[in-house]
Amino acid sequence: MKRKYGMKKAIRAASVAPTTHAWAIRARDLRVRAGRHLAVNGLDLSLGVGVHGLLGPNGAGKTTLMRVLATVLRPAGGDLELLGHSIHRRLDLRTLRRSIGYLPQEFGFYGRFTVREFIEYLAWLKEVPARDVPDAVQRALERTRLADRGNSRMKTLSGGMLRRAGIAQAIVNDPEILLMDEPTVGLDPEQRMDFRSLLRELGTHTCVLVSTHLVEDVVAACTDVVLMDAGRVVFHGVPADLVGAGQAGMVGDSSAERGYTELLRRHRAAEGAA
Amino acid sequence: MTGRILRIEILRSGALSAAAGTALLGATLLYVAVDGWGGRWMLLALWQREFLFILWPMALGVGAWHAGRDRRSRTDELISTTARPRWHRSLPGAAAMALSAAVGYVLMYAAGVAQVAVFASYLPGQSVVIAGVGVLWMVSGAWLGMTVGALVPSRLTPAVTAVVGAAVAIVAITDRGYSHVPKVVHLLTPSPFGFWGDFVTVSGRVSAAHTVWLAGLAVAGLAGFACATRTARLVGLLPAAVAAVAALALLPADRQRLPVPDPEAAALVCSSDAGLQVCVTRVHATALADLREPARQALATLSAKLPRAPTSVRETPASWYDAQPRPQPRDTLLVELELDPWGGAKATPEELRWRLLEGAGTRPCPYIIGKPLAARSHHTARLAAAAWLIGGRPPSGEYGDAALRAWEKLQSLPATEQRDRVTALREAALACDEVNLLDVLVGDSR
Repeated sequence: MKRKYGMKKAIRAASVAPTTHAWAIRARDLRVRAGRHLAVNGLDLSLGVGVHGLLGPNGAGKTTLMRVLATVLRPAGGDLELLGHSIHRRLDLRTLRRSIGYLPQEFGFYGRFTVREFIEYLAWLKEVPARDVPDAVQRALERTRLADRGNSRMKTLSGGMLRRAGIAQAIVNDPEILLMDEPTVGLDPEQRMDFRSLLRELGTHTCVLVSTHLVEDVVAACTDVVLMDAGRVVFHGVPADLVGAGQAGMVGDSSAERGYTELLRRHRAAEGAA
Repeated sequence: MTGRILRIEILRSGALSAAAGTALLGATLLYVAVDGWGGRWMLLALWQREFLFILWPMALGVGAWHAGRDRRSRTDELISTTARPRWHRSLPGAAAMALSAAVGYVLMYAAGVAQVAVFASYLPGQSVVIAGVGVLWMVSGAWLGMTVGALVPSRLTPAVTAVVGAAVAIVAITDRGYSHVPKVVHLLTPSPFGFWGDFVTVSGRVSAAHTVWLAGLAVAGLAGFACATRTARLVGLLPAAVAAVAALALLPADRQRLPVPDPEAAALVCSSDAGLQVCVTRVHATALADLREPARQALATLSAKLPRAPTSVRETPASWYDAQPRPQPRDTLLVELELDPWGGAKATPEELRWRLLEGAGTRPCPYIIGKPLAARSHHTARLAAAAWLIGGRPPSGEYGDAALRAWEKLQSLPATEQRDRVTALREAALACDEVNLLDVLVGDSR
C-alpha cells in the first residue's frame, strides 16, 4: 500500500476551484416531513466552512434536518441550497452527492466485508475516481486510527471501532459537506479526544455539521453552535455565547450544559408568551 | 475499480458458498441417479436439466436473499445518499450472483463429466449445448430472484420465491406428459424433455428457442433489479415478452416428443473376428467386448441345432414394443442392450447368452402388448426354446416355472420333433404372426 498520501492528497481540482456559493448549506423557511408531521418547520440556517455543533432535545428535528441535508429526504417546503444547488424535485443529485459525507444515526454495514473493503465500496459508490481510491481509503483509515484493523471483518469490530469506521466512510470522498449524526456514541474518552482533533482539522476546509447530545463535545471542538427546538433554530452562535448563557445555580453539571438549558428555557418562555 | 468491487462482492456476498452448495447438491443428485446417465453424454445433460427443478428455485432464493442485503444490514439509507446510480451499483452484485449460479451448475456438470469422459464412447455436440442452456436457466433464476427480492422486501421473500419457483417447475414437469402439451410449458419447464432412451438428441432449434427465451428472461430479471423506477422496470419486461413470442415461434411445430432420434448415436460399431460379425450402437460401444463371446456362443448353438440359423449379431436401438418391420431379419440376430453406467453391458455373459437365444434368436412381437395371457405364453415359449438350445433349466423369474414345465414337455418329445417344434417357433416369431408360441412349441395339435 502506498503511504505517500500526504503529498498526493493536498491539492484536488475541486478544492482549489473557486466556489460559486456563499454558504455550503443555506436554508430559508425550510420544512421537512417526518412521517405525517413537519419535524423541521420553518428553519433558517446558513453554514459555511467550519465545525458546527447541532444541539437540541430529543424530537427537536435534528435527525430529520440531517437527513434532508444528506439528500435522504426532500424538503416539503421552503428553500434549501447545498453547495449552491437549489434542492427541488427535478434536480439530479448525482454531482452534489459526490461532495457529501454522511454518517447516519443508525450506521448499517456489511458484516462480512473487511473494514478496508467496506470503505473501498463506499468510495466506489461515492464515485471517487478509481485511481484515487486506494489512497483515499488509506487516508480515511489512518485519520480514524483504523489502519491496523483494515483487514478485520466489520462484524468483529467493537462499538467504538464501528463508529470510527462510520466516520471513515463519511470522509473517504473528501466531502465539502460532512454530516454526522451522533458520531461520538460508543467512543471512549480518549477516542473522543482524537475525534475532536479530527473535527478541528476537517473544519478548516469543510462544512461539518455534527449532531450530538454531548454539549461538551460541541464546546471543545466546534466553531459554532446551532441549537434546535421544535423544528426551528433557537440559537446560533459561538460556543462562548452558549457557555456565557449558563450561570451558576442553573440546571446542569457544567457551564455549557447550563447555557444549553437556559437558552432552551428562554426560547420556550418567549414562545409561550407569544 | 469495478473489477475490484466485483471481487469483493464475489468474496463477501455468499456467492462462493452458494456456488459450492449448488455444485455439491447437484453432484449428489446426479450420482444418486448415475444409472440413468453414466457413460452417456446426452443423458448426463438431460438429467442435469431435469434437476433444474431443484437448482433453479435455489438460484431464485439465493438471488432474492442477496437483494435483501441492504435492508438486513440497514445500509439502505447510507447507500441511498451516494452518487452512483442504482443500475450501476447493482451490477457487481448481479454479476456475482450470476457467476455463482453459473459456476455451481458448471461444477455439477464437471462432476458428471469426470465419469462420462472415462466411460462414454460417443460425444454428441448437442449435449454440450443442452448443458449450456442449463447455465442460462441458472443465471436467469438468480436475476429473477433478485428482482423479486427487491420488489418484495420481506424476510420471507427468499423462501417463498424458491418454493413458488419449485412449484412452477414441478407443475410444468408433471404437465409435460406424453401427448400434446401447450408449447408454452416448454418455456416454463427447465427440462421439458423427459427421458426417451439412449438414442435421442434435442435439436439445435429447440435449444436456440430456449436460449432466446432465457436471454429475454434474464434481461427482464436484471432490469427489474437494477432499474430505479417502476416505468423502467415495466420497460424491462418488454425483452422477456418479445423473447417469449420469438421462442414460441422458433420451437418446432411437432412438439409431441421434443427429443428426436439421433442416427449418429444409433450408428453401428462392429467387430468381425474370425468371420463373426457382432455390432453394437455407437453410444453403447463399450458393451461390444462384453457381447462378443456370448454372441459367438449363441450363433454357434443356433447353427448347430437349427437350420438357416443367423450368422451375425446386431444391437438394435428400437424397442421390441415399438412397431417393427415384419418379418424380422433371418440372418441377423437382433438384440437390445442396456449400458452399464460404469462401462460395458449391464448383464452377465450368461444373461446375454440367454437373451440372445430367447425365442430361438428372435425378438418378442408387439402384438402381445395389452394382452396379459398372450404375453405370458409368448414369453414362456421363448424362454423354453432358449432352455432347449442351451440344454439347461431356464433361469428362475417371472416365467421361469412355466418355461421349465414347457421345456420338460418339449424334451419328452422325440428329438426330431423337438427340433421341428423349435424351428417352427423361430419362424412364427420372425414373422410376428399372431399365433400362440406356446402351442407352436409344446401344443398337442400338431
